[in-house]
Amino acid sequence: MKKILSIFTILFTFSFTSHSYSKTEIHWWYGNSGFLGDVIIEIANRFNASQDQYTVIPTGKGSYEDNMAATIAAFRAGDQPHYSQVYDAGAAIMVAQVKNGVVIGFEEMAEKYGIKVDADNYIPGIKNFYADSDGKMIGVPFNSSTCLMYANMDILKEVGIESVPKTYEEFEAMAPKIKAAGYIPLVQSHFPWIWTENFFSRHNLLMTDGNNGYDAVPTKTLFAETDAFVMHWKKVKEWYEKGLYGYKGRAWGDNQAPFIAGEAAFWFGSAASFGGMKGVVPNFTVNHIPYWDSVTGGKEYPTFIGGAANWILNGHTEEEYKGLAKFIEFMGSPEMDLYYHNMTGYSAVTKGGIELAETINFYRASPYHKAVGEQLSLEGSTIPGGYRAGNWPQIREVIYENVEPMLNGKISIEKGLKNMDKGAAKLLKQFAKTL
Amino acid sequence: MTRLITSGFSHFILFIGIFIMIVPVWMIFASSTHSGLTINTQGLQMFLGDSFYENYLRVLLYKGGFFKEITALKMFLNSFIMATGVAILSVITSLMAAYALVYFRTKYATLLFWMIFVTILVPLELRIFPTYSVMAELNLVNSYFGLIVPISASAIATLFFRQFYKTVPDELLESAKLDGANTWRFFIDFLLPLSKTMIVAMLIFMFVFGYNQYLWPLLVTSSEQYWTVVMGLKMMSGSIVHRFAFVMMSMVPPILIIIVLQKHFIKGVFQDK
Amino acid sequence: MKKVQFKSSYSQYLFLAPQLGILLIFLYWPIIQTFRDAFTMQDAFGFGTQFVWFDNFLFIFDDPAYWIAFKFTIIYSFVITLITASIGLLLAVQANNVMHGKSAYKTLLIWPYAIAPAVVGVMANYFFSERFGLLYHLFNNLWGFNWYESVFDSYIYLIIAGSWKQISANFIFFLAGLQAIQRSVIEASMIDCKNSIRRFWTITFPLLMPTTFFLIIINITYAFFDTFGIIDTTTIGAPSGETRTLVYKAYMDGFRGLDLGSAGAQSIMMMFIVLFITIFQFRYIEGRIHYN
Repeated sequence: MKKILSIFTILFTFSFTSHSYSKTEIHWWYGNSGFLGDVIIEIANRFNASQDQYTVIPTGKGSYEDNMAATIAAFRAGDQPHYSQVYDAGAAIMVAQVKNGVVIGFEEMAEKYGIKVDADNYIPGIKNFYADSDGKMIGVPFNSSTCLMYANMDILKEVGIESVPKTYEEFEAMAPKIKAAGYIPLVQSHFPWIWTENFFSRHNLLMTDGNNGYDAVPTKTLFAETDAFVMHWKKVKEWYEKGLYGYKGRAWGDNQAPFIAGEAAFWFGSAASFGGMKGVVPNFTVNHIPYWDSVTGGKEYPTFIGGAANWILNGHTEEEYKGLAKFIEFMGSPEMDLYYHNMTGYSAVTKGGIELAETINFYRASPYHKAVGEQLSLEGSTIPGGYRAGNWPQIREVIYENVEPMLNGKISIEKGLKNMDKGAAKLLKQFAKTL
Repeated sequence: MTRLITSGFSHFILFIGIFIMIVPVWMIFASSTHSGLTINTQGLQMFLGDSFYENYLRVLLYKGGFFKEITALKMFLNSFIMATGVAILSVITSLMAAYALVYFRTKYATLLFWMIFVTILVPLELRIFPTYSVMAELNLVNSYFGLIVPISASAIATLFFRQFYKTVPDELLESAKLDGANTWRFFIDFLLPLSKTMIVAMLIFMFVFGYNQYLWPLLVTSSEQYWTVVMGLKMMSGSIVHRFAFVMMSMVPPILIIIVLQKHFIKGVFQDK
Repeated sequence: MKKVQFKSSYSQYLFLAPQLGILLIFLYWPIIQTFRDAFTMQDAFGFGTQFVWFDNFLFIFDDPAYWIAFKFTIIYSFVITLITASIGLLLAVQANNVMHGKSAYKTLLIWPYAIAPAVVGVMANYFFSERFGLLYHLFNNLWGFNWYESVFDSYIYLIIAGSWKQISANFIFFLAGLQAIQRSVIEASMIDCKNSIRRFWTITFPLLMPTTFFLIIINITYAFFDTFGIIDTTTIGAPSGETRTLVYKAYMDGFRGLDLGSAGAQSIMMMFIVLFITIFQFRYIEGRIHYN
């Protein structure tokens, strides 16, 4: 017993020796893992090597949801990091926190600590997504993706299809051929993101009242009352029943797996997904996501930004914010922007990054990277470039809760979409109460 | 003859039981010794492959995180510290509390018992957010203390010790009183030696309990140097076979402890029967 | 209670102090905060707090998802209790029967108890993966098993994952219970009753009652609380939230959904449910069983 105790004491004291730095520490929490997490670490390392006053310490907290929860828990406890990566669905929550002094907006930060990168240097579509209702940029754009269509060209060749579908009508026409050859025509990885939020933006339709929350705090979603969305859902169900679309559960990877294994012809995923597929899927292309010709009348509209931004959290010293300002500047430089774009497939977020890419003819060498920027900067949209709806993480849950019963016919499409609206309205109202 | 048949039948049933317990773990282990390609193309494996050293060394020594210091080895050390801390702290406090409940006459006995007892009704998952804010208010996040103490706030061991003390014959206290022992002397010289097996059993029980914590370490440690093995399940990267290897290794310490110390464990838990 | 005790004195409180101190700080304090959360509404960061009386409770009672979780929790704990207790009992009786190898069997059946639920979940995940999961394909061939669409199939998935390690615990306790029954009782009954199966149900099983009820409570709390790690690493509630336990739903709404009011109300409901079960067990069941 005594021996065990003494071993324990030794281990205990030994483990208390921790890192000590003479430099100012800046903590950056993130919600990426695996390869994307490694790139984040690499960015921090490069910054740390570039100067000797500050040390950026990145800490992975699991998934986006985990990181947001951890950041909020930490803030409530007064233990928050300086900089935290929060995803698209949490943007409204974060923007609303400027007035409470939780979040420091980018522009305020830039003014106070002299960040050399201007807000206008960020691509408008991305900038607006993370801006407040006055158009002031709050979150600092970081990993920005959108949903894209990946196509297995070998399968298409085998069944004699020459080009990828631009519209859902084209997809519908070619899908039975693909199925007949023994492949799954289509899989997709995120119902709320790809086939709800971005369905609306892709077709230039409003998703909530209050002009997607940009003009007034939204009180309801417009799922059941948007005819195009009802029609789309009926089609999805029809495809599902005919085996033209394969649903593989909620997990992102499970839906991607058939495409990686060469069993599915098309997969809807994120712009940042191709990294894991290069070299694994022999011959694939990255394309715009289809749209219904019948809905838009042949016009193509941009999708929302997906992914995440970094948010500056209040409650630290001036010296630390000076360091963070330097870091934001560093990340906003054309070279770092292009580095990240190239490594991950996320969109370049600054004009400088895009210019640099063009000067060095980057897209000729790497056509994979092109689609995301193209699709995001399509013009002609009359709806806002995002949605300001609180409790959105939970609303995504509500959407998912109704997807499965709608697919397996337990409830009708109309009923399912009404359920979604009902659940969302409740959550939106609840959020409005706390404003 | 019938004796032989029935015992043959018993062996048969027991073999099925063992089969159900061992085969899943064996298959994950066997699969963890293959290459990722084999698993992805041919599925889980029944027989050993030849990538054992390669896979396990990579998982054990792979340096993750920002500081490139956190390896599976370090996670094991953290888990060990956490589990040992939980075991020792909760057993000591429970021993004392149960003693106070059983061996002292007080009009608050019922109240005190319920105050301790209701706590097993509120698992950490239900109060994880508020517990975290308490920890942060006390400045205890990112420390071994923060990993250990809230998990030790458990009254399960207290209930076991209370049950056990109740079965100790009254004569023990009578004779101790004749010897002139005071409350401390009686506790240390008479009761503790008698509770040895029970103490060992509870140490094992709480060790496993502490080792297996999953949610709490994830929340309370933002610094990677405190990562534990089970929370590492959420963080693991690498190919599928590396995950298999990590899962296999993560279960070794508690299983070893249970198997090696099973005699004490079983004896202790059932002493009151 | 003991007939012979020490008089209450300051030292009693010294003995109690460490545990009570830890419980007060790390348990009662958070629980009080939970109560406060349950009656208020606030944004994720804790601003805009207002007292809303029972709104959060009305919100969850009005929420179909809450009742789905309620239903699942009841069914899940019932089935897990039934399966693990009967298999555990069957194995324990057989192990008690054999003359040779008793301790080897014990060793070979006890270890799954030590594996973390989250680890069990990750393993189950591999067996129910559509890509290379053996059980997925076996069941899929049998009846078109597909756990992310069919509620029934996802139940099967979680019941198998949840029962596996808990069989061990039931086995250990039943075996100990069996061994505690005095030889003389068994021998006497062998003369009275020649049929071994009838002998088991009329003599042995009633003597095992205390163990059985103890295990029912253990299994119910296991299904209520400890399965958290299993669900979080397997179905995550799919399909459509049908496989969330009450604890898992409270966690999802509070921690993931950042709605502390609703999570607080759910936690308090959960406390009442468990309290009810416990009182029921103390009052009605413990009182009626005769310990040997």
